[in-house]
Amino acid sequence: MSGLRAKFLFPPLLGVMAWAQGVPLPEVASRTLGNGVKVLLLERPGAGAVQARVFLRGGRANTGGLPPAAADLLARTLFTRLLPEALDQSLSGPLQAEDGAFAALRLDRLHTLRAGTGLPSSEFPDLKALHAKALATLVEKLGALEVWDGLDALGATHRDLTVTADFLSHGADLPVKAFLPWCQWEAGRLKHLPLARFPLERDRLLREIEGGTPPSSPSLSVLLATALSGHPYAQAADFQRSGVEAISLEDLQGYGEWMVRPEHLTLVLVGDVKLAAVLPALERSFGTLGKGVPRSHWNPMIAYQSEDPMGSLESPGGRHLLVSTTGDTRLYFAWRMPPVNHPDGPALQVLAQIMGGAPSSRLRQNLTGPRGVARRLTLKLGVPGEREANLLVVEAEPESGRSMEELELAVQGEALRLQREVLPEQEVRTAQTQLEADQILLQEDAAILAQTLGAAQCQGGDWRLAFRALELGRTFKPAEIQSVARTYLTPARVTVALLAPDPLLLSMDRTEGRLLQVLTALVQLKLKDPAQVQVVLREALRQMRMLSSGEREKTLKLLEAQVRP
Amino acid sequence: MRTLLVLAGLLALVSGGLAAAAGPQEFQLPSGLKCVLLENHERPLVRLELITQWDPALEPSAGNGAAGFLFKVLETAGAGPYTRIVFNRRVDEMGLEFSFQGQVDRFRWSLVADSRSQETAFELLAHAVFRPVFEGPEIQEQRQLLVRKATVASPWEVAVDRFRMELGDPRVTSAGMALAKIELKDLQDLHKRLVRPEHASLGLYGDLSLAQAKQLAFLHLGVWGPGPAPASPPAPPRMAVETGFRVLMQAGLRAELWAGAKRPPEGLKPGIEALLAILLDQRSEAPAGPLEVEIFLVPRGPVLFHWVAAATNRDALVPSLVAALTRLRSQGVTPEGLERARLRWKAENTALALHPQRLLSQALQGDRTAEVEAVTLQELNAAVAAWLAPGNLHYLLLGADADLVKAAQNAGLGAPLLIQP
Repeated sequence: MSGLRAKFLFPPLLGVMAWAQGVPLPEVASRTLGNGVKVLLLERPGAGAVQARVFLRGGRANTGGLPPAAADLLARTLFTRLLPEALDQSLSGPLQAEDGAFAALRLDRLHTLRAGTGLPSSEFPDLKALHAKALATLVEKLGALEVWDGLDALGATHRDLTVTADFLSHGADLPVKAFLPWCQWEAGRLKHLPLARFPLERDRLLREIEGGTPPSSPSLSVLLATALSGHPYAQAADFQRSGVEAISLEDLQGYGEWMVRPEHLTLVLVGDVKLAAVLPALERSFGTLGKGVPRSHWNPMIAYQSEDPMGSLESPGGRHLLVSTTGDTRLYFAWRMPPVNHPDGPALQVLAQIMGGAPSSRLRQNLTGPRGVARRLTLKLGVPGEREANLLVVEAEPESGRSMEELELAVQGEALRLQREVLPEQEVRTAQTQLEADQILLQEDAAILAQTLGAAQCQGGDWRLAFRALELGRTFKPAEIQSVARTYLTPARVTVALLAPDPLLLSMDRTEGRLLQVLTALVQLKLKDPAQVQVVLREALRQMRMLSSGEREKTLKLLEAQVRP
Repeated sequence: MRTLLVLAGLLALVSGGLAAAAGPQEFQLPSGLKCVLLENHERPLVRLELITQWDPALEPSAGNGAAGFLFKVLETAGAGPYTRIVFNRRVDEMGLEFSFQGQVDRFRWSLVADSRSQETAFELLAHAVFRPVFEGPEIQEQRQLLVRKATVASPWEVAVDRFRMELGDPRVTSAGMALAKIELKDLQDLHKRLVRPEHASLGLYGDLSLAQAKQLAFLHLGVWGPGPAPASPPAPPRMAVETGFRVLMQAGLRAELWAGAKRPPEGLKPGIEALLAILLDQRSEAPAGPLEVEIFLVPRGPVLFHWVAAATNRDALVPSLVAALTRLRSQGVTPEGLERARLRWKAENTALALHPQRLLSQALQGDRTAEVEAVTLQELNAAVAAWLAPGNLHYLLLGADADLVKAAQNAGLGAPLLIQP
């Protein structure tokens, strides 16, 4: 084997030679069109295709007075299908009719709720029928375009849509010859803001919320509201049915006009196109988007306070939450972090990598695995965005047989060890190597690269922020990493949330429903305090759920016998 | 003279390393391992993908939960001289990206490294693929984890997994039932039968030349010999898919109806499969009124239709899915639809250069352009009609109440078969 190995010494040698030349940042050409639209372009000659992506700065955290769902609705309505301008205009009547019918239906339901009778009003069936008819008209007129649209005809593939707290983005792969027509189509869409699909997308979003799969998890919403209260991201994950229903066509129109302005727009192109060749076409299309005047009623709040990023990290103290949910058991540790363009950013990335960025990182190595306290553990920096003060979040689920308290202590212990014990230099080197490798890997796939460039541009105003580990040009010392750990991982800046399902909130089958009724009757005979009754019922239900269905049935029969006179 | 030869060799390697070959370059190791290289020297990255596959019909235990168990054990097993912890640390220290995925009919290992670490990447890949170290206690722990997972799964999840597994969906690996009987020796034998070079392909992409690729493949994977395969255990009785429709009664807000048809025994022509996958996926995107709709053509597996209703539109659930199936069977694909699908296929192929991982997968599968071009409308519609013939379809109704069951019976789904929670 040794002879064989000696024979093949060249490949690794060549590898080192290639690396020694250094890894440059991607060669991104940047231009600003006459009207302020930003263009980032990275050439990949010979690819035969281009990944084209439109970014709109301002996402779920910047919807003015509207709920964050407005960002999702706008993105889905605008970008899911491409509607010709003429069709959109012809649908204006049916769209207004649907909007009116939906609002009337909603008001009627609210009225019924306030009346407290539990019975639908006499107008309800007519209103429902009216709304269904208006919606059916829209669906019929949209017709075949819902299956194949103009972008499909151009050969656009892998279309995708991203909505975050900081931006909306829509991208697709295009054959090179389709690029110029795409510019016209896409700019036309942004100019005319076709909203005819709004009711379809609103219904789809409502179904997702009702089905328990909203775009952002309810547990994250609880965490953000507490950990970042008073900050722009506090409501960025709050998806409530009532909030979505309250967004009208006029609201979306106003929000869309405010969002789709040249100063909010970034185009990212990665592929077989040259900037000099496409710039005139970009000026003729995206460059003609007017600044426009948002409707007078639209009053976006001032969302970002980046002039004082450290001020926004201050907190009166650490927070500890116990949350009853209908979902899984979870533990969250969330520390406040500065925006992405803060000077501590690179050191914080290394810190996060050491904590949980790889299989052998501290938290994953010490807390997960067959003998660990956590069944699952993830760590994310920049939750829910990076443009403002955000969170470094550890999310963990206890291993079966392990308590939440054990898990909490274990995470806390790791955070303290990182601050107080000697941090081996090799661990810092490894973390930096991993970050550099990640940032090289980001450049491989055109769609991932385009998304990375645009996100950094929207969040920090500079695409280079996505490659800070490569740009750094030096290695961190352990003392520097420990210093940021001591600055940011402090008890005053942490929110710890323990989420556990409440048996009384979970959906019940017939046996459980009946068990609850019988148990309530029995417990109320002994206890008068309703809070105490709930405590006993919770524990009883928890224990019942450990029994097999046959045992539950037997238990139910025994209990029923005690309740019956 | 010797110095000159070495220098010439070095220069040849350097020039080979800098030139990018346009298309896939193939070579094979004596063991039968097929290797496909796509050179790209724009970035100092090397991507390795090793896929080993087998026919689940010839390896019945794989489809009965053993492949899933082996997959979980391999995820945590040692590799070569390393324990899993040391292996992970090696991967992390070198800044490599390692992943391992398993299905009922294949395992896939993937490693991405920078150019400096390409030899380490080959070495670690070889350890992970054909030098796993099985430990008794680890196997026991994995067994317990899988059993626990199967125990806590809801009746809803169990019903969907069973339905898909019986229809031959290779993505469902957790059977659970056979776990108790599988011992260390069984897993070692299964590994020897499934993970074999003559049934494997290695894809290489990035900053390495053909000469380097060959050298590294020979050095690290050349010793992976086919060797004799241990005999397969007797096949367990095949699970028959019952006629009628299965029902999980559970009145609540949400109800689901699944329909599915096994892959035709004679298989599908690759061109037809590629176009049908595009057409069905596109239909999933279209709104079907008030319901959530998904249609999957599972690669190497069944076709699945998944309709979801909320409390307010349960009435539409059965009629909507039955109407969609009838429409597909009777009207089939239009000439315009076929052309659109072909256009999409071409565009996706053109765009592959932007996505190295997909490009590599495509190179390992082989070029199907000619097959896609050759598909006729009649052929496509005949395949759809035959596949979705009422006798081939099976149904699963979840979250049902008496009204939904009645609606399903009236729609001709057969007799209800109640699932006991």
